[in-house]
Amino acid sequence: MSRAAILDALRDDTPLSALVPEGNIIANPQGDGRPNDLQKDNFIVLRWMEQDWDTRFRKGPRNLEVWAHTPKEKSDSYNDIDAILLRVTKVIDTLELIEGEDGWKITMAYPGGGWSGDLVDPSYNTIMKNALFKVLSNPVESH
Amino acid sequence: MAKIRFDYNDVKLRGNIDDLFPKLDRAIKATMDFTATEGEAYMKTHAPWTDRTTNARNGLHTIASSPAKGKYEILFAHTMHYDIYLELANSGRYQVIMPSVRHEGHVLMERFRGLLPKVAGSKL
Repeated sequence: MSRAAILDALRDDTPLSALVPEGNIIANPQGDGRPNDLQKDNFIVLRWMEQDWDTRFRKGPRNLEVWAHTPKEKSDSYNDIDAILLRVTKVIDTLELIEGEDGWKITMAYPGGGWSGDLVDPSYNTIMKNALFKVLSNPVESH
Repeated sequence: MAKIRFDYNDVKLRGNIDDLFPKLDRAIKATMDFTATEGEAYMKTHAPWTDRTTNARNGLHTIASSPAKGKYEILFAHTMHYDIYLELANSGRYQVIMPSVRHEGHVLMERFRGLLPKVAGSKL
């Protein structure tokens, strides 16, 4: 599903690292409450969701949700979150034919809809927004 | 010398177009009703939380409607007061509404593909 390629692209992006520490970009955390190993700063949660199945092509892009958070103790402004999602969109939108260390290659990735409204995560105690992306990928072995 | 000639009479065409909207309307409403029922079942079977009371899962529902001529919608909804927590908390770890809307939206568009010629040729 190109988890590695996406995660690496985001963590390696210099403009994004000015907004979010590299280690604060995580995928599919399983526990409830804000993950303990995060720095007390902005963070991003990636959620790999269901696949859009196209019966004609017998494949389709997978939905990737990007949730950008600012801890309430840091700020109550959504400015950082907007800047994060803007940068994430630029990074993901340029990914094409990128192979990840997990053996999956991105064919293409692109925004899948508008951003959410200004939201609050009562469990993480953050303000947050999310954006949806579509990621079309293949296992490298199949080429 | 050759001649190509045809007589154009749009009376039948106009009649068919007049008949088209009611047929299409019935077909779309039937498709929306079916998709709404399917969407409710999808939500109830794909809600990613572990039930404690089953109230949240049982409260998941859909409503298909046509709020105005030529407009159709399916509402995906919860019933319990705490359900907004399920959708938003923990970066959407327990969300079910939006994934279901995306899934059924995709299925719905697949169903609509090719609907017009089918309806135009049918006797609904």
